[in-house]
Amino acid sequence: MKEEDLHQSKDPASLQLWMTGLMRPEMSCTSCQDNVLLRPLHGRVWKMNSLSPEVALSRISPELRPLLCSVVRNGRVGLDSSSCLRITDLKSGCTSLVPGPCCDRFKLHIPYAGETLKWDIIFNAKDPELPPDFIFGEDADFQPEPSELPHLASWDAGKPECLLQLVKELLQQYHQYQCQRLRDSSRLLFEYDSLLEDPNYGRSMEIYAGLKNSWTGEFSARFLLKLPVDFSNIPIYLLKDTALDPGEDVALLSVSFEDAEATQVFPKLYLSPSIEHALGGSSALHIPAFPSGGCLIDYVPQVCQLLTNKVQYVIQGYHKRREYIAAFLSHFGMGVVEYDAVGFTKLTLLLMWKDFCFLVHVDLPLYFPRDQPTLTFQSIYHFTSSGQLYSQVQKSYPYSPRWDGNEMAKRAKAYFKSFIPQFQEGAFANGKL
Amino acid sequence: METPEPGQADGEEQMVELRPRTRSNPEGAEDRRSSTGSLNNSLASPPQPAVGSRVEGEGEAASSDSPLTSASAAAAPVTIPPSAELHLRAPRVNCPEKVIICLDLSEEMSLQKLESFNGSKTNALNISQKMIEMFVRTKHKIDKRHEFALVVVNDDSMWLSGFTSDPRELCSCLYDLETNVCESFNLEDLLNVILQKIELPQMENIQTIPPPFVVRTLLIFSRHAGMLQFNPSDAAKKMLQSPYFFFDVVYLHNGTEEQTEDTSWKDVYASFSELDSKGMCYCFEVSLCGPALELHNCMAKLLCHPLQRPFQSHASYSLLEEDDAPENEATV
Repeated sequence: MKEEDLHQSKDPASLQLWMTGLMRPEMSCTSCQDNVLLRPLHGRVWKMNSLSPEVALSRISPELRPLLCSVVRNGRVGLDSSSCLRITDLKSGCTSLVPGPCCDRFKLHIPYAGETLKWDIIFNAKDPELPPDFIFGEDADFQPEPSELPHLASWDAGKPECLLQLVKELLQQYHQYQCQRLRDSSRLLFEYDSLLEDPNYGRSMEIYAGLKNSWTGEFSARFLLKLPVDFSNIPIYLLKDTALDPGEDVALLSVSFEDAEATQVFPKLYLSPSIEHALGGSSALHIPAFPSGGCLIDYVPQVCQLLTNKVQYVIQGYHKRREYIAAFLSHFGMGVVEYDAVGFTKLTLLLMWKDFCFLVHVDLPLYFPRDQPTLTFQSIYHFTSSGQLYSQVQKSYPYSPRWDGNEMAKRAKAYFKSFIPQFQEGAFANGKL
Repeated sequence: METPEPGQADGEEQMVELRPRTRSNPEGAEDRRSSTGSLNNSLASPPQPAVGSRVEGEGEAASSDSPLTSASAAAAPVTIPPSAELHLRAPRVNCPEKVIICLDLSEEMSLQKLESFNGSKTNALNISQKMIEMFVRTKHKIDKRHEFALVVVNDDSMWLSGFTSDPRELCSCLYDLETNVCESFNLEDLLNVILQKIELPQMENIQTIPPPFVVRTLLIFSRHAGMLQFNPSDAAKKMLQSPYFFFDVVYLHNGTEEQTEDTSWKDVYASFSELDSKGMCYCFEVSLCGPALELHNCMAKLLCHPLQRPFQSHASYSLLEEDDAPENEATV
């Protein structure tokens, strides 16, 4: 997408996403001519000419409006629950004599296995009771089995959910169709079958088997898996900070096979924004490379375990920090200045030693107690020569992650007593009153 | 820690304010009645030490602490609210503070009587300016959401700066101030100036839902214009009684020797304390003729977050106490 196109875009959301760098070019859709930049899990990405839900709804024929409504307003069909369905190319099959709004056909963009499917959905404004026709983009071979489409067999234009449900059923069929195409590569078929047998993954997969490259005869595929990691015990305060609408908390693993023999395999992890934030930011997305000669049924559980460990660390860290602060309040409670009563990430104490008042700021890291808290000592009387508060940071003082909170508080007190005299001396020697 | 307090269930607050042991109240043990079961005020030492505390009045606490013990002998205990009133406390969450620093610019502030560290004489305005700068910078370092405002008090009060979360903005107004002779202290005017600029939060459940912010007035005051003439408006009364408003005072006085009029500094001090109907404010008295260190230390104690700090009489900062295990485990 050209930058100048974006700048003229009337959709502030897409401009903002671009500027925050959330659009990642490597996910550009290869089947789409316009090189749509796709970033699932980070809110809506509007293509230049895609319509906002309100505009689409205002132009569609009134009888069809309820059906479209449930699709555009938070209709989600696939694994990637944070990406919305988009509408483009809204057209009408009526003559120009028919007064608007009377649009009855459009393209629906569906995120699937890291791609975007573009299906034409064609109603007839003059006969709104009838179910629509579908054109499945360039997948001319895709011929869904009508008997597997209950919402087609008992189509009820009066039920607003009907179209959305039908699209879901079609998508399931499409998934089967793609899996069939894996037969062109026994290696990839093996990967698929072995995952299918495992109840942890078998039911939450989306497969896209790309077109064979007519030059090289090479075949490629992408597997998108929803990872069965339990995020439910992550402390709530870590999750509510994100400004983006995360939808469901989910971890998706996308694995691209660039060749049929699985020698070029590129895995990538996607986390809902709030989960990514809770696990420490973009470093949470680091996963091991796919081992050469390895297979998904071994690799995927590894990634799950890695994520689960991170979640455990974060949960444990929260409880440990809480215990630490409780212990410090026990030992120093009458001199507490402030402490973080939500995430327990920091605490400031006011202490006195021989009439000399000083502050201790304690910062507790995300992966406490593995990572040691930082202590910052501050004199209340002194500034530095450049006018800043006079303070000194201590990162390595006697510490063991195996001590409980009580022990840490006791040892900290002992450390303060040993350190303060020299801190005071330094303050009076180097600080400005 | 687990023993239920009699009378607590009905949520009614007595003189020693009982708070529910919610998740955000780690020091539930602090609010125990004295062992005699009497509804004594906070002047009596609580026999059960609150978590981590020492019995009040011990050791290192500066003389500016626990002033109520001296004041109470003369006047009626000042922190006891009329028993009919309910005083609910907000949970102990470190929500953002809006701190209104009110600096007295009467001429007493520029008397060169305070003894600085190197023995030379300095004045209260000088020290106050430095300590205000320390205060706002430190609060900002602890939590960038805190906001500050500066009000100067002459015969009337004037709002100079704020609210701002940038300490430099406030400090830029802080150093070009001059003192002058002031006739009287108009507390009503000060409160009205404040009232115009703030809107206190209204929460459905005071005890369990943390407010989005609290407002704290920090008055540094030194003139001796007699007892406070104070007839608060309804709005001012409501503000003073709000669980989200705090009126902290540092009172700089000439000391006990100078008792020129009927009112001594102790009476003025007591009348400030009377403003504190909830018993949660901090009120310090410092002698203008003493070491500047005292004033420094008061400002440091005023750093404490009003929702998380102990009652002033319970506060203790000493590091030189004995190393004994805490009586109770705090829960957070």
